[in-house]
Amino acid sequence: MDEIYCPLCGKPNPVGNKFCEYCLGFLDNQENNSIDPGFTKEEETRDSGGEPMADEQHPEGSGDIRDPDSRDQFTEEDKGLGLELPAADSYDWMPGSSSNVESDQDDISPISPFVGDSEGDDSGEIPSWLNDALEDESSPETLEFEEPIEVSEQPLLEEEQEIKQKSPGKLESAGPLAGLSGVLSAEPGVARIRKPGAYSTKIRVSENQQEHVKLLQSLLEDEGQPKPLPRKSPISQQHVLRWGIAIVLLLAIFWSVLFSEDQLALPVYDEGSAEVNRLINQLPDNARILVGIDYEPGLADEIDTTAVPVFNHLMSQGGLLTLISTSPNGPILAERFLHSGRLEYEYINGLDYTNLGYIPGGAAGLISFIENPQGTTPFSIDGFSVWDSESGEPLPPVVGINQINDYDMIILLVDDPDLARIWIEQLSPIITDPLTLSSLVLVTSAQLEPVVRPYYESIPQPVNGLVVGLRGGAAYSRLIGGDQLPGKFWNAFGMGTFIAALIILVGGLAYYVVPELSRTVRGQEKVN
Amino acid sequence: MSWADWIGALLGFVLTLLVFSYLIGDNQLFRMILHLFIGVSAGFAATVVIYNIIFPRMFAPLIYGQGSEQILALVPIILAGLLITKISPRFAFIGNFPMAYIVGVSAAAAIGGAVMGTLIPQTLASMNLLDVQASQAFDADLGLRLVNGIIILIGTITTLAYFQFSTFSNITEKTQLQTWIEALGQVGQVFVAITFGFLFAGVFSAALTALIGRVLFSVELFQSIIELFL
Amino acid sequence: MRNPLYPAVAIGVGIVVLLGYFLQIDLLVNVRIMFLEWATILVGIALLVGVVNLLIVHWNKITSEHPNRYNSMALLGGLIFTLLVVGYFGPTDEVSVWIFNYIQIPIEASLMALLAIVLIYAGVRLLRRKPNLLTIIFIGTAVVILLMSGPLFGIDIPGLAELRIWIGKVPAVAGARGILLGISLGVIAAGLRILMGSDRPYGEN
Repeated sequence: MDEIYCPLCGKPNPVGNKFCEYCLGFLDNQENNSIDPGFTKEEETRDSGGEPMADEQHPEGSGDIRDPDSRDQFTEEDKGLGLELPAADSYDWMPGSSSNVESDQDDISPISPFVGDSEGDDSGEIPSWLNDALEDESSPETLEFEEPIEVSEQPLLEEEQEIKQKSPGKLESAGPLAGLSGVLSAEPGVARIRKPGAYSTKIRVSENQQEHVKLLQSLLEDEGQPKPLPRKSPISQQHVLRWGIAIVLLLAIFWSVLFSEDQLALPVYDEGSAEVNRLINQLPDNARILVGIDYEPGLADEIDTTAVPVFNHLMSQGGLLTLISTSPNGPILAERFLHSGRLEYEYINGLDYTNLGYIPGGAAGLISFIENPQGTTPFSIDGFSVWDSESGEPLPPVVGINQINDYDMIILLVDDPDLARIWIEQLSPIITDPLTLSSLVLVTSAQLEPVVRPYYESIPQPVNGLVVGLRGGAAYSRLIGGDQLPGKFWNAFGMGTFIAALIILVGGLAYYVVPELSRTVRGQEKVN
Repeated sequence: MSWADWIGALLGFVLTLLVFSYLIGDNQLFRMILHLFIGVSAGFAATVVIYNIIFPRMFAPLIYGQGSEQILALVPIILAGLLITKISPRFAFIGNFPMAYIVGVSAAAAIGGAVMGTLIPQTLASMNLLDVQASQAFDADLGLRLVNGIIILIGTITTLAYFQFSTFSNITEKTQLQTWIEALGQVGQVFVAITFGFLFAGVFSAALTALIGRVLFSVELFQSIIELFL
Repeated sequence: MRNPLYPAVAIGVGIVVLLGYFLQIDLLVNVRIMFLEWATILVGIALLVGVVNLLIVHWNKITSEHPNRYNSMALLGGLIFTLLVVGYFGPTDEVSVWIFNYIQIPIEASLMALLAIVLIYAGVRLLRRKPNLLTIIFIGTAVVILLMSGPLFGIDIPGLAELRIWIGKVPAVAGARGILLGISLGVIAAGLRILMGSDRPYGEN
C-alpha cells in the first residue's frame, strides 16, 4: 500500500508518515490503517478483532466520558477516594474511578478516536504505537510549552499517594492535570503539541512594493504640510472681459448722448400704448384718477421717462390724481415725479392731486384700501384730512369717491412683478365686473412685460392698457406728438441695445469657437 | 441751479463714481456706500411709517374718535405694544400673538387674490383662447388668432408640466417622473426658455435705462460746470 | 407643547378674511375690514421694529470693535441723519426730496446701471460651454427682443418687428401664463398650510 488513511479525517497520507498531513492526527502505520475507514458507528466501536475499542488510558475498557450513561459506572469507590461525584451533567473523568468501571460495550460512544490494536489492547499495557507517540510527545521539539508547568515537589497528600498507588498509569506532568495519572489525553492531533516553527518577522516585500510604500509615505507626509496657494493673478480674463464690456457700452452711450443730434424714429405702433391713449381720450373732464406709485428709486429714470407722455396727456384732459403706494418710497417718488419739471403741467397739492401716502401690508393693505379707502387712508402724507377736510368737504381729487370703482381710471406705475401681480389680482374682480366703468392701465418697466401681458391678453381683461418700458413711452409720445421723450435718451437707448446684442452674439461665439479651435489644433498636434 | 442743487449734483456724481468703482473690483468704499444707502432707505421708511401710520391711524382715532371708535382703536395699540417686544430676545415670544395675526391675514389675502385674480381668470383665459365668439371682437384675422391660441394653450400646459416635480416610486424601479409628463415638460422647457429670454432682454432694457440716466446726469452736470465757467 | 393660541388666532382671522372674498354678509364684511385695517397698522409697526433692530445690530458692531464697524458707522450715520431731517421737515418736503434725489437715487440707480454690464457679461459667458438647444433659444430670443426694443438706427429689418411682437404675444405669454398659474397654485398651497396650522411661521420656537 502506498497510502494510509488518517483515522480522524480519512484523508490519504503517504506510508511512513507518523502524523496526518491534513489534521495532524496520529497515523498508525499498521496494516489496518491502509483500509479506508469509511467511518460507521459500529466500526468505530469495535476493533479489528470485534472487541470493543479500549480507551488508551483505561485498558479495562471504561466507559467513554462522552457517554452520559457511563457516568453511572463510577461507584462508591470513587467516592471513597474522596472524589465526589460531580453533578450529573458534568463529566466524571477522574482516573480512580476507572478500575471499577465496567466497560459496557453497548454504552461505549460510537465515536472513538482510537483505532484498536489488532492484537487487542485490554491488557492495560500502553500499546507500542502509543508509546512511540508518547515518546514523541516528550521530545522537546514537539512540546507546545517551552517550559512544562512545574509539579510541586512538596510531599504528596495522602489522597494523592493513594491515587498514585491505585492508578499506576502515567502521571500527567504538564497542564492543569499535572500530577494525575490515567488522564485521558486529548485527540492525538491536538495533543501532538509541537514547538511552533520559527518564522521570520520580516515581511517579504518586493522592490516594486517598496517603491509603492515610499510613494504612499511621501504622499501622506505631504498631506500634513500646508502648501502655499498659487498666486492669483490680480487681473484675470474675466476682469478684462468685464472692463471691455463696460468701456464699450459706456463709450457708445457717451458718444450717443454727446454727438447725436436728431432723434431717431419712434416706434410706429404699439397696441398697449394705443389702447391707453384711447382710454384717456375717453375720460370725462376732471376725471378722478387713482395712481398707484409702486416702483423703486433705481428704476425711477425708466418709469418717469415712460410715464411723462402718459401723464402729460392725462393732465391735458384735466384729470385729478389720488396718489397711493404700497412701498415706503412711493409717496416721495410721487412728489418727485410731479414736481420734477418734466411734466408740462404744474399740479397743486390738495387741489389737483392728493398724496395718500403709504399702505403697509401688501395684499392685505390693498384689500383694506379697496374695500374702505376712507378708513384705510383718512389723512394724506402731509397730515391733511382728505375725505373730510376743514370745510367739511372732501378734497377735489376724492370728491364722489366712496369705493374704489368710483374712480374713472386706475393707473399703476410699477416695476416689480410681484407687486404688479398683487395689484392686478386684487383689482381684477372690480375691473372685470361688467357694471364697472373703471379701467386699469399699467405703466411698467420693460422687465415686466412677460408677466403682465397674460393679464392684458386674457378675456375677460383685468388690464385694459399697457405702456411698457421706454419703447412703450416712445410709442405713446409719438401718438400724442411733441417732444415728450428726450431725444438723447431714445438715441442712447437704441445704441445701447444694439451694442449689447452685438457683444452677446460676437463675444459669445468667440468665447465658444476659440477654445474649440484651440482644442482641435492641440488634438491634431498630439496625433502628429 | 441753486447752490443746494450744485452740492447735491456733485454729491450724486461722486456717489455714482464710487458705486461704479465696483467694476474695477470689490472695495471698501463701495461697501461703505452700500451701507450708507441702506441707512438712508431705512430712515425714509421709518419716517413715512411714523407720518402715515403711527399718528394718523393709531393715535388720532384714540384722541379724536368717539365711543366705540376709541375702544376699537385700543386693539391695534395693544397689539403693537406686544409686537414691539420682538426687539428683545428674552421677551420675543410675547410678540408671537400679533405675528400670528399678521400671518393669518396675509395668508388669507394671498389665497383670495391668487384664486380670484389669477387662477380662475387665467384658466378662463386659456379656455377662451379657442372661443371663436370672444376672439372675433378683438381680431379680424380669426384663423391666425386660433392658431396662436392653440400655441398658447399648448405652451401653458407644457410649462405647467415642466414644473411638475411629483414622482412615484416603486420598490423595483427607481424614482422617476411619469414618461408622458416628462415628455410634456421637455416641450415646456422651450416655452420657458423663450419667456426667460424675453425677461432677460427686459431686465437689460431697464438696467440700460438706468445707466443712460446716470450718464445723462453726469453729462448735464459737466455741461453746467462748463457753462458756469464760460 | 406648542401654544395652540397662536395658530387659533392665525386660522381664525384668516378664515374671516378669506370668507369675505366669497360671501357678502354685512357683519362679515365689517369685521373683515376691521381685521385688515389692524393688520396694516401692525405691518407698519413691524417695519419700525425692523429698523430698530437694524440700529441695535450695527450699534453693537460699532461698540464691540467689529472689523466692519466703519461700514456700520456709515449706515447709522445715514439712518440717524435721515430720521432727523426727514422726520423734522416731513417726507414730501423739499429737503427730504433733496436727500432722496441726490443720495438715494444716485446710489440705487448706479447699482441698477451696473446690472446692465453684468447682464451682457453673463450673456457672453453663457455660450462658453457647449450650448444646447435651450441656450440657443434663450440667447436668440433675448437678442431679437433687444434689437427690436430700440430704434436700430432707423434700419428696418423686414419681419423682425413682427417677430418681436409675435414672440411677446404668443410663446412668451404661454410660458408666463404657465408660470403665473404655477405661482398662484404655490401661493394657495402655502396659504392653506398656514390656515390649517401645518405651517407656523410666526416664531413659535
